Amino acid sequence: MEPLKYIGHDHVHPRVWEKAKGEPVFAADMAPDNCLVLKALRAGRHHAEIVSIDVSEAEKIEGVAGIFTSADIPGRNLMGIINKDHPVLAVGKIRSAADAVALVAAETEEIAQKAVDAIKIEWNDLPALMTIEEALAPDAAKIHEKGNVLFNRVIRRGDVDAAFANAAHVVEKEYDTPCIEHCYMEPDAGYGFIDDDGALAIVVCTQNPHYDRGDVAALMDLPEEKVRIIQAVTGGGFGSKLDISVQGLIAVALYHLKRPVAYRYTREEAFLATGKRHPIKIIMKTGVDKDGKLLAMHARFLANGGAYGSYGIAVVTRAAVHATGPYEIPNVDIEALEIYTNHTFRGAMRGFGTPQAAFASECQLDLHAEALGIDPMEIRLRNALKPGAVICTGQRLDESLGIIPCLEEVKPHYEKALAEWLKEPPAIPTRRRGVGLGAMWYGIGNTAAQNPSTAQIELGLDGSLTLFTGCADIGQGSTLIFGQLAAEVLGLEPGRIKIVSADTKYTTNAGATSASRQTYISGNAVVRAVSELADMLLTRAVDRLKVAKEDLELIDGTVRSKKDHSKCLTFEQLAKNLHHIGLPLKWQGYFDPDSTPLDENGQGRPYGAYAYACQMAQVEVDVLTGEVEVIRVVAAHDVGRAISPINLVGQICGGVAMGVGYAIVEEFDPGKTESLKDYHLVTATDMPEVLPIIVECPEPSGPFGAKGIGEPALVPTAPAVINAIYMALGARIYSLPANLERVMEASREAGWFERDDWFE
Amino acid sequence: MKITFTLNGQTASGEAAPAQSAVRFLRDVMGQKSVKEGCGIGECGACTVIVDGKAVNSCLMPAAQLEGRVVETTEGLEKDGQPHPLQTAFVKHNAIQCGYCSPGFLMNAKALLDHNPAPERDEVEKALAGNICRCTGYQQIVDAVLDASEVMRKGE
Amino acid sequence: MREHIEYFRPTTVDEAVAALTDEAGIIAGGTDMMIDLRSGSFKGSRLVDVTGIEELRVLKEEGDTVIVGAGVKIEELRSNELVRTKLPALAQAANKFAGLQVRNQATIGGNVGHAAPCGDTHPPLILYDGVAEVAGPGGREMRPVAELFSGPNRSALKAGELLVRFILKPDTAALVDFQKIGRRKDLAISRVSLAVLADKNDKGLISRAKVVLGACMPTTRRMPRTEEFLNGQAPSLAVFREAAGLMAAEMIEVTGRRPSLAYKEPAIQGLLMRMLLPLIRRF
Repeated sequence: MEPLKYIGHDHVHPRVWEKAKGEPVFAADMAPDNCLVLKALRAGRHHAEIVSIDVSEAEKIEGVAGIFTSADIPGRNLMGIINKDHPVLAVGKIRSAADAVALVAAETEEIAQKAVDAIKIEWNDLPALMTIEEALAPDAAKIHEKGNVLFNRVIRRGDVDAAFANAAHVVEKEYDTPCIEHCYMEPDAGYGFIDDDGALAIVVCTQNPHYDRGDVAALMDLPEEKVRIIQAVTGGGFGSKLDISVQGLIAVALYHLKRPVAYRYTREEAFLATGKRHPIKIIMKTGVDKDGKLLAMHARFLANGGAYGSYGIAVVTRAAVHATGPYEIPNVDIEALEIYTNHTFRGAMRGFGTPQAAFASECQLDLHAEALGIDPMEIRLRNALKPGAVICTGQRLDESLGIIPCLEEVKPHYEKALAEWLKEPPAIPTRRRGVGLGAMWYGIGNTAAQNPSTAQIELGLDGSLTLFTGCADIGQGSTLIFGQLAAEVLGLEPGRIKIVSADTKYTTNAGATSASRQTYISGNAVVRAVSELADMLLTRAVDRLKVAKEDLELIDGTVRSKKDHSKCLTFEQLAKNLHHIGLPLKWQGYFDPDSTPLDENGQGRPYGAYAYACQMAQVEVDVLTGEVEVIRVVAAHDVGRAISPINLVGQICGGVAMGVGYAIVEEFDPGKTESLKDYHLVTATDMPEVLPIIVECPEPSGPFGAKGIGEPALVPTAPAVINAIYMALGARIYSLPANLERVMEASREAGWFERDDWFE
Repeated sequence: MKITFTLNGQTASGEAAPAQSAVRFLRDVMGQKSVKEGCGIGECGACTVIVDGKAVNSCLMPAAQLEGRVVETTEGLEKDGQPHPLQTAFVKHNAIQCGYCSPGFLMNAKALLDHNPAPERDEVEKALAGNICRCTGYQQIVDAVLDASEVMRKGE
Repeated sequence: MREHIEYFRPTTVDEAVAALTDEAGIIAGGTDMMIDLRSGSFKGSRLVDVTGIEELRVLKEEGDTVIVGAGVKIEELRSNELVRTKLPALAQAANKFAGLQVRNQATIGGNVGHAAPCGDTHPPLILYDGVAEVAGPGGREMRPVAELFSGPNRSALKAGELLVRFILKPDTAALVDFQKIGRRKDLAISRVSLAVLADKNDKGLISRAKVVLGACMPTTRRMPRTEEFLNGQAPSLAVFREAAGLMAAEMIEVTGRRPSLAYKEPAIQGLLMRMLLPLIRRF
């Protein structure tokens, strides 16, 4: 690829210095001192009818400004981006312990808590359905009126039975994945005030301000322009901040009290009340021919979705579409169910079902490889998607197919690890070493659904440039990326473009910061907007400079002749000229990827572009204690085109950290996991050395060829670690995380306690 | 109770409730919004400040114990309008993504380098193990601290 | 945060003891008390901050003992040269204690006084025959550390009593070690912890074995039958395996069968075997 001027180079994020200086940029830092403090009363029981709510005692407490219930909500009291089933304040019944029943606004946090404790509720408890089996039982109580199965995604292609009959090796296993807490470092926070336009203005951490505006407006029965969402600097999200957290509660209190109000979750409340990653039970059967070529897959995904839909439909759909991994399997029968239970709802989390699916499919491949005596790298190379491959939805892939390049990049490291590192004795004699592979593919953007983004660029009469995007940067760096993309087109330093983002008053919808879509989709919208402006500048310059368009260049805030640099116009001169002749100074860009809905057999074109990756993990396992140390991860990621290499490295290292946690530590046990005391994230000393390798297979439809990285970085890590643990122990773990208990169990199963050979 | 202490080199005082945590006091009374309450129970390090040269979790310290002490927060890292080498290195190495944990990491790293100007990589990792970051995977943070250490030593 | 709590910061042990009424709680590093205050589990009305008492911060060698004040910070135990050389198992426990910030705040007295079964300083304190000086309304007395715990999170100290210092006996045995297993390398609560001491006599046989098991029983304690078995044995994998099995049986006698044993029963055996290996070969 030809080198570019601003793309492919490291630039500094426009807002990073505010963070480095500790400036008050997060919502909890900015809330005015005179804010009332909000606190919700949460159900604390799993499933019950509300017989009565008595707030009379609570109202008498001095310093209480208001107490609200669902009766105080004028509009549609149902939230949810895909299916709207989640009340902000409970109506008649509660479906999970996290459900908010009443909301207190008070002068201080202490008074608010006192008032919450003084609210009396009479309950009529209903059977609590916590497991998939309980929810699916024929006589199970209905959590929602429509029943306990929210959605069922089917993907069928070819003849699975015939293919299994002809397979040289067939293996069927059951896998379990845990519930996971996103654990962004900033507990959800926001505050609201009435702005100069009389709108309910809510400053909040969020991944999707325009969706928030729509649902909050519907909640309060207001026109959208009477609600303004301003994204505060957001301290991570990883999918959780796609859902409404404090927004709706702030709106209710603000609407009635017309006074600034603030809500900041404690970590405990964030743990209790916000969405989680779906635990999914996966039953997967695959068959291969004698050369290890995959012939068929039969897979069932049972996702425990908790009490509300959130992104559950997208999660199971994506799990189903990605079940095959980045491999061609001609015959598939895949079904994925999203099931309501009485847990705190499960929603989007980095990967949307793909990490769960990849754990199963990558273990299956290793099982085949072992049975047939084929090296794990070789079996992946034999099956990897090649140009012309047809995936399980019938989509044919020809371009930007990066899986084989990623495997090839990891291969020398893998071979070296096997030949050298594996042979060295570990420093601790009770340890055994293992090397494992994990690969993945990831469709960029929403699955088989409309998925647009918009952006505007405005040229000031003084030649200044302002880029408007609705995209919420939650730390992943989208604002940096858009600046570099715009800079490349306009030929000037990214720092010279002011970026206004994620304030619904000034920006238009860029869709959610999810599905690794913002670089690809909003990036394209930015490039299109900026290209419109660039073309107009060039066109005007042709007229003014009398130089053909192809002989002009945009450079450093000017348009000039490539041959004669004295023939030059500044952006300011051109802006005044455009304005004088009545041409617009603000240009719009729009992009929606080329996808189609899936039919009843799951056939269609779910995504316009796919990212690919392969990671290798090197682990040491203590066979006598069950301790696992991930020593090193080599991570090759096809990103299409690297816009900010340093930012990609950050995403990859962060994804690996989350993947290591998913593999060996993290598990959210509802009712037991209350805080960071019980939920463990890896620390700096647990982190393996990460070697990120950036692979560039340009995507024709991407901005300068770029795809996405956010979620792919996490997906292959857990299977790579689990496959490595298998090599170390000789016993396989089918449930995540491979924590002390599970590794110990596997180690005993492999007989290590009776063996002396670890010592020799 | 009135607490008088040295905050970023200046004498400061404010009114604290007897059992109030230092993180709430520093944020709500003293306006040090860089100090983040990430968990409130000493498990994340986001509220790390330096007291008498040592990194502490301000959520686990009563405000009363700040009396007469020397306290440093991220607000005080810049000197004469110049960023601290750690801030420069964090920016240069992309050690900051969402930024919520960053002030805690910066203060812990500053205490480390003040005490041990030339730490090894594993010493940096060990010192920072009390700070949780969910975004970066730590590698670029550790790179930044080592780089700042080198810059600071060259500057002397 | 409650407005009605009284905060008192004495400068002498006598002042502190006088202030330690039934309604009072001790705060030193704050790493436990601040959590209890936040959760509301501390119901008292007075906080006695003992950080102003000079006497609690002593750390010195005295004859063949080392005196560690109850107010000594965990990080000091980790980095102090006297502790590292004379009480390596205590230094190792400190090294694996929480994270740096907590180590800078938490005190050894607090870790003992809180009596959590997983308290990381408990096994080495018992390993070094630790005796605590306790001040109370009736004066001061010496009590073995092992007797300071009456149950999980239940201190045997009575209201009005204050830990002043610990007197520990260094030991130059060939093997002195503390190790723990947590869910991560640092910032981890011990699932299992062990302090082990053993020497070899001139015939190469194990002597003076001491095994202290933490985090598995209501309180941390020595495992006498395991110790007796080890003494006089020639170190070998088979002997270690048998000792480990004995220790597990000893533990189960105390705890009974419970779900967490599925891990802890093999894990304490594996950990003990791993820790005894240096008696056969240096690694």
